Amino acid sequence: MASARALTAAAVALGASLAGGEAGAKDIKVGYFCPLSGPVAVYGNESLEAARFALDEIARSKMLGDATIKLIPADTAGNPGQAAQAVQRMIDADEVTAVFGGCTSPETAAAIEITEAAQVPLLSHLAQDTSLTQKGHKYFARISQTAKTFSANAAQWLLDSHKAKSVTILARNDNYGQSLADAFEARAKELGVKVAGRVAYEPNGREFKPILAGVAEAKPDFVSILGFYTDTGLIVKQMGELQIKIPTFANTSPAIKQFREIAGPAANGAYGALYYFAGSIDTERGKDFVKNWQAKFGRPPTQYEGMGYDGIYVLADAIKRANAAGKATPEGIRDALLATKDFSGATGPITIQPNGDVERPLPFVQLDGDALKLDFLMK
Amino acid sequence: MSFVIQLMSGLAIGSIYGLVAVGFSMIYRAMGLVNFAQGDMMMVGAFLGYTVLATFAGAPFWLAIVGAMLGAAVLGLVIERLAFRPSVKRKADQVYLVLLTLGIGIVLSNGARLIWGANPVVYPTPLTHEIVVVAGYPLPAVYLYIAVVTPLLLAALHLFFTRTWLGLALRAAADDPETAATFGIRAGLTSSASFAIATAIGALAGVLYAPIAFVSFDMGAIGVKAFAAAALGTLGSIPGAVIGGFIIGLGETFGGQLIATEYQDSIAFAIMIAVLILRPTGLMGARS
Repeated sequence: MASARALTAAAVALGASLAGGEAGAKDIKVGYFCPLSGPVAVYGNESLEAARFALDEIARSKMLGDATIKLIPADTAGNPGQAAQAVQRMIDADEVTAVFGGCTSPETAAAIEITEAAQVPLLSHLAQDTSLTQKGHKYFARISQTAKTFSANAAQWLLDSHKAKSVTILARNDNYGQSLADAFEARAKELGVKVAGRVAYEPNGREFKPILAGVAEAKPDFVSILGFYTDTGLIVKQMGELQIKIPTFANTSPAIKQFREIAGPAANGAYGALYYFAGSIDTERGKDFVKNWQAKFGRPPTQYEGMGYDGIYVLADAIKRANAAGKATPEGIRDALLATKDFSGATGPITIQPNGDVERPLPFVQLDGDALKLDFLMK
Repeated sequence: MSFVIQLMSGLAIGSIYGLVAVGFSMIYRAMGLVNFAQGDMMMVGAFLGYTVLATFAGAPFWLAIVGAMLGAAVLGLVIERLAFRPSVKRKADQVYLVLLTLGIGIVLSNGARLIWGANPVVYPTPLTHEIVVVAGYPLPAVYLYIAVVTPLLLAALHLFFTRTWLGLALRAAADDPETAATFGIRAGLTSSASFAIATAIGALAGVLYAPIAFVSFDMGAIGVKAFAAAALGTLGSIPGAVIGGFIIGLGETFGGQLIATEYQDSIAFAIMIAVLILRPTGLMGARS
């Protein structure tokens, strides 16, 4: 592909100039794609704000010497087709050295097709679909845990942190919910936690009382609801209406405002897990990030902000190491990215495995009124 | 889990299906048309109720009901006037009219997404999460509204169709439009009135349903189950629509529990298919 060759040539030239320590600021172009409009725009906008915040710090600290990362953002509106087009354009027209992003799994999957063909490294900070790293892609890495790891860790947390002996799993009857439930159930059984029941519910279901009748009878120590905030919210609301007082793990929902609105007072006490929870990382790096963010924005960073911030740093760190090795090419950056080990991120230590998956901490939180509090940080 | 709680929940959701089904039946009676936009009219009604409650902080729930019904009635009139009457006048085929209703449903759903956003909204009223204990059973407080408003509405509809000129005129036009026309009952009047009433009842269903779940632009999907209820109880029959609603509501609740909750949503249609195989004209078919 002509564009890929041109890109490689440009990158090699750039690498040579960096390695040669040529004076003068150099732009390293990095594409960014995420939904910046539409229903899930919050992922993209918050990540972008934090990525820019990180880039300012990187430029000030001269982490990359005279070179600066120039971010080229594109809005996908959460649409995979739009994501593929945007990534193709940033590779062909803007000749980016690397691509950062993919806030949802479908758009990331679409982008991978383009970046693999063009041999440009792609780092996602939020995509969770387990299959993304199961297809032998050579240029893809992520700093978000796979859905499978996330869910298996949740089962582990039930036992470690809450000594649960039995659990009922309620999962959306779609690919997302069922893959979470499979991983959760497998780990629970492995650990000897009894799975008192597993129910697949209709993704657009509104009446969960027949299901909850079974839960009330089974009386498990915990209910694990693996779905989106609309369904987890309704299930928790209806548990409240039926006065079922069993602790719940409501997936990632407790951090979402609409979950609290839908579930109402019944949401109080619900547990969940996040990509990142401000204040959960007690390293210098973790504390500085929260402090600096607070100073600028007057509030702690959200999980998407934490991930956007660390994503850019992981990428910058890989570029720096590639430069040092004299291989500031897309391939060199990819190699450095996949060799990321114990990177001290603001969201915790990050190690990227050879297949592109990550090892990182996972914070579990609990809703206390309208606020979240840290329940346990799984390292 | 208590049988009584499940029964109440089945009856409550059945009332909602029944109310939307009444809208289907009214328009079918008046125009021989299945209005597939009925579910989306319910959705718009639910959003109108939300707007009332969000605009006037602390407004009582009945104000949301009245506001949504009035707003939806106007919307029904406008849709009938702008879309249906011209098509009927140009002698559009029934198939096209049904397609027109599907199109209107899509426009309403996308319009709602533009106006109220893609995220679901929750009624800002204590009723949304209030629980009352009746004879020792905890029930959502909105069930009481449903228990009072649904029979009241049905009684009002009965009086309307038997005691008022307009109601009698609607029945006459539905039974024999030509003879009714000779008595001065214009077809335009009957279709306008039917649309306005049907959308208002749909809006009522939407507002009563909102505190049970939440309001979102895609909640019109409930219309499909309500259609099953209307078909089950014989399209065009108002008591049939209500009975159909209860059968489907209870069928889902208890069927889901007895068979498998995975199939809860399919049960509505399984019941409809079973009844229509046994009685192709629906439960009230003999009378209509």
